[in-house]
Amino acid sequence: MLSIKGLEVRYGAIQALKGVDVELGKGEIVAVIGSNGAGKTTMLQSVLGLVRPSAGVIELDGKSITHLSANKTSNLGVSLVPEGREVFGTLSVVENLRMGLKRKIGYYSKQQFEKELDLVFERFPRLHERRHQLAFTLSGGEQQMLVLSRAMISKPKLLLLDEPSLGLAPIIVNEIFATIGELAKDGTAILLVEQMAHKALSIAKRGYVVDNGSIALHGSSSALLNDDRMIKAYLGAH
Amino acid sequence: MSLILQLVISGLSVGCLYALIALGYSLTFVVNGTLNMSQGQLVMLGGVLMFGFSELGHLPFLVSFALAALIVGLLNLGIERLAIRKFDKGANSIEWVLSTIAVGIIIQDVALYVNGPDEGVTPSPVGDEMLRIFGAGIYWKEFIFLPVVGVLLVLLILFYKKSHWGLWLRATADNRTAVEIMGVSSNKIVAVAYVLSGLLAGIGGALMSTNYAVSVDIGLPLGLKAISVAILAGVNNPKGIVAAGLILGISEAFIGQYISTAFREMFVYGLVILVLYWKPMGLFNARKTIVKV
Amino acid sequence: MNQLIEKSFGYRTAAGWIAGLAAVGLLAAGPWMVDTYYLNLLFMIGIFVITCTGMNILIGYCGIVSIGHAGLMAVGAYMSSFLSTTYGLSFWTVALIGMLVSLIIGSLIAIPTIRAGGVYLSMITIAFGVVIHEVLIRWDGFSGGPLGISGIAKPQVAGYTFDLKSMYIFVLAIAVIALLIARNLRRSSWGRAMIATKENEIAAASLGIRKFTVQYAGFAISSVLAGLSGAIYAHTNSFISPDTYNFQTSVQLVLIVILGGSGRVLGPVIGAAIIVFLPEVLDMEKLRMALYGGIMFAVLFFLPKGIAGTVAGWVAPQLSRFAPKSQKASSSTASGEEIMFSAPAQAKDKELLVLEGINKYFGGLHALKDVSFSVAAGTIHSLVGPNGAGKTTLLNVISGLYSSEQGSFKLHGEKLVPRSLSAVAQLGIARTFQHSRLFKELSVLENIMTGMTKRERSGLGASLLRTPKQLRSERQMEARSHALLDLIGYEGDRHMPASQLPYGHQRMVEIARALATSPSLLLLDEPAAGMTATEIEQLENLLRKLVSHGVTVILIEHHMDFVQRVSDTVTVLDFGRVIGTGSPEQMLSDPRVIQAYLGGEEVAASAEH
Repeated sequence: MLSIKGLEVRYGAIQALKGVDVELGKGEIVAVIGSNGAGKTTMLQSVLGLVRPSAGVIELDGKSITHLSANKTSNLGVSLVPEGREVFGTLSVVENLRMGLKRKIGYYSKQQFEKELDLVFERFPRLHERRHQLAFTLSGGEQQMLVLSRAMISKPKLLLLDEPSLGLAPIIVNEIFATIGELAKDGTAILLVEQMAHKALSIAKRGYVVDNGSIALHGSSSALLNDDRMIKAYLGAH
Repeated sequence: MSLILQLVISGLSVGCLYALIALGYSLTFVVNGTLNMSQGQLVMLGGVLMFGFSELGHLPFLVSFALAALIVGLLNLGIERLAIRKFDKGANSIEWVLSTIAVGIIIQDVALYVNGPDEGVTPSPVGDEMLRIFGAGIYWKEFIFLPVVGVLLVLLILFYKKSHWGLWLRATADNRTAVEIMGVSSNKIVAVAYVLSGLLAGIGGALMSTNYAVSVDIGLPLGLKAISVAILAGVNNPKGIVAAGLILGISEAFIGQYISTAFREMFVYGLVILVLYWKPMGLFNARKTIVKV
Repeated sequence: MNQLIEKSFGYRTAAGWIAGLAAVGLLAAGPWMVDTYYLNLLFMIGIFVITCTGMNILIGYCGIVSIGHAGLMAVGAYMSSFLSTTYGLSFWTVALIGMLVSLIIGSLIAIPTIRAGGVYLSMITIAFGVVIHEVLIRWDGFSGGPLGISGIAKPQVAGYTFDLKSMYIFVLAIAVIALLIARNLRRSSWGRAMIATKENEIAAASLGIRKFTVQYAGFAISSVLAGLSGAIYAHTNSFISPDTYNFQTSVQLVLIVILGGSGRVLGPVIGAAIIVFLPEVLDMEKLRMALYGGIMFAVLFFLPKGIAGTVAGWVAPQLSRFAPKSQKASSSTASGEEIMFSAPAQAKDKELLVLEGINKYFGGLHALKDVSFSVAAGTIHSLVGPNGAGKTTLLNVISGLYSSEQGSFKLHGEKLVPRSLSAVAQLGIARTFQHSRLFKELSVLENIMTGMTKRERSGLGASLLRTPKQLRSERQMEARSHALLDLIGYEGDRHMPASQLPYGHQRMVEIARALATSPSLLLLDEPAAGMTATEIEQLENLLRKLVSHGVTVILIEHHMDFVQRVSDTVTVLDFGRVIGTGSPEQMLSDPRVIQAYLGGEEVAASAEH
């Protein structure tokens, strides 16, 4: 479904990604882990088109999306849940969810949107309680639930998740990760960028470890979990 | 007593116009942090076009009105494309201030060249009748501003709250990157904000010409006055802008009556400078921004 | 070889002087070469050059675009004309008074505009211009109303009455002085501080530079020059009316500056010449303002640096090929280091900075929770923790960028209240930022010198006149800056604009700039991010050298090998809370720390094997 080949990204003189290859199939969860500044976020941003790659090819279902702008890629069925959440703070919870409607289906009936809302509120009852509140008044965990739901409403084939655990308490992280697992079962392909390697590898089948702009390791989750080199990539040599 | 009522009502009418024009600044400012410094000249253009279509072109009133508003709205689309988009480079850029000032100068000078210094009042469809309330006499054509602007504001609010475009506008104002992520082109949204703002200017100008003589040099002072309203209220605060516009209209009427007309302008601008000194984000604004490093 | 090139560079400066003198000489001969009509135009160019040189300082150096300076010219013109026609005072007295009043009124405008900044600034200045215009029309008793003041006396000296020719020479002299002042300012710490504040307010504040002070200075200079040119114009023309000083004139003044090239000393000369001559050449009566609007639009679109800036952009790279490759300071490195560090080497283990119960909230988010630890003098103390743990927030609180809700700091055992970046900087705490915040328009060397602004700054007057004392202090700063660049091992061109530096060098130069403030405590926010292995090694050496000179370092860093090698102490933050402080070996093998980084309970278990 998604294939990244030889992806390179430069910010001025710095090379943030130095030739990265990643493959992702339908309904698959793949974890991308690595320490801060390794280039994980840049990878997601270049898939969506927020960052322009300097070399390499990104293909979605065999078609190149390498140079599409973010709003165009998004309309092909790719949703990004960005790092730091990016809710629309001055819009209400329901309005935030309405933003998830893609333009093509944006004019669908009110009933259909209501149905989508019911699904969201069933999964996260806390959002139902707060549906008329402005999003900036929500706690970090609730905001994360909101952006995840917002992405889900747009019915993506490919979901890009950037550090969904960032700054959240473990119990909420569990809830979020459970939802991610369910989404994959429904057939959504998920590229999960995480710092919390163990958490991420526990729901992903495969993983890539990014270090300093390149893929240092990749393999099945269980193999990675037992690889000493992974801890080294995070905490340096002991 | 009747004089006071008269002053209040005519002050409110002028205040409506200020609010309408100032809302035009606010519409674009919240979306991408820019505003069109030639808004006043656009209002002037709306008025001149209105007079031209209806009096010189003998078009029906409503057709002239709609044409004037539409032309100015579309002109603002062009201004956004040429004078704003390239120069909108973040919070501290001011090139767009200069580029839109340049646009304003050009509009004014070309209008002077084409139209000459003549000014005219477009006859209002409500006629020259007087409305008598508690002994105060007020022209219908002036009083009509209040309900017209009121209806416009309601429409604007409905558009904002209910329509998808309204939602996208508010979302873009909130978080431009997130809007792109959601598959909406934020450039398009900014363009829509500019068209709306231009429509408001055009409507304001056309409306104004039904009671006041619109000459080509009225744009700058009018635009400045409206900016003052926006600054006093806080540019990102539409409700405050309406309130500030009305208050300013009324106070001008009273100052003009009881103190002096010469003093009027100084009062407004002096107040703006004081407010900025004391509360740089506007009187009705509490929001603070956090610097990220 | 090097010496030869350096010598020819000396000649280059001399050539510049000779060309300048020749141009001034030629212009001074003007009255005897052209007729009155053209002399009048030349005179107007001179008037514009005087005003616009002040505005150039304001726009080009300070980044404040005032669209109301015609109002300040009007103040000078009307004040002097009124006093001269009503009380018969001499031109020299009234011109001085005009400048003074213009300065006072300019100051009244400067205070709110500088505070408000951005768009508001343009609005206030426009409004100011409009108010002045309005007042002049209405205040008959003072200004003569719409008809203006006529019959203004020409200046006199010892019985000689100035005519247009001699006034032109006078204006030429003043214009040259104004240009020299602008040039001197650009080469002084005041000028550097102005540009620094314009380019990066936060970085400038972190060097102890107060935005208000420098921008006010710019406003003051431009007000005085505007008042002066107004007075000269009034007393030459003998007649003034409000319409000379309307909004359009203000826009014209801005146009002259940006067309010529804002921030370029000769910009106003080029701009004024074009703006005065062009309508004459085109023989336009109508649509003059539209023409100006069109030019302004074209300049913004195609020549954002103006004519002088664009030409310099072409010429400079050609010239720099001949520039000497390396310019090491003549002083030996050892003595260089001596003059750099004023902080006395302190006994280790003495507490330099103590944090107690620091709390910080962003709305509902509790970003720092009861953070307490102490930093020993002369050590490298690292802050580590996963993304979002609150490390940078803590640095921002210590350096005064954010205020904290609770908690207290002690520096050198005394209570520290971090009020603002610039106030903290003056207490000897310097910092760098996660993203490069160099002043791109300034050269590498000037960036470092900007760090010394607070310590070495000469008075504004001395900077404008380039007095011997100010020159000496400039030379000292330059020598110290070279020594600092030697210290960080910077080998490249020191006179090239910082915008052209490779990334790794930018980070190092930023550290050197922070060191230029002679701090006792240095806060570094991810200095190694984006550096190559060799550069990281250099950084490591530098940090060790700093510590040996008694500088204390607080370091935020994600390269864990690096942290482990250089740190004396490590504090680990997670969720805004301190999970532990200790030696690097101890902390980085602590299961709680590994858990914080990798997440999940199972890690703690696996790490214990």
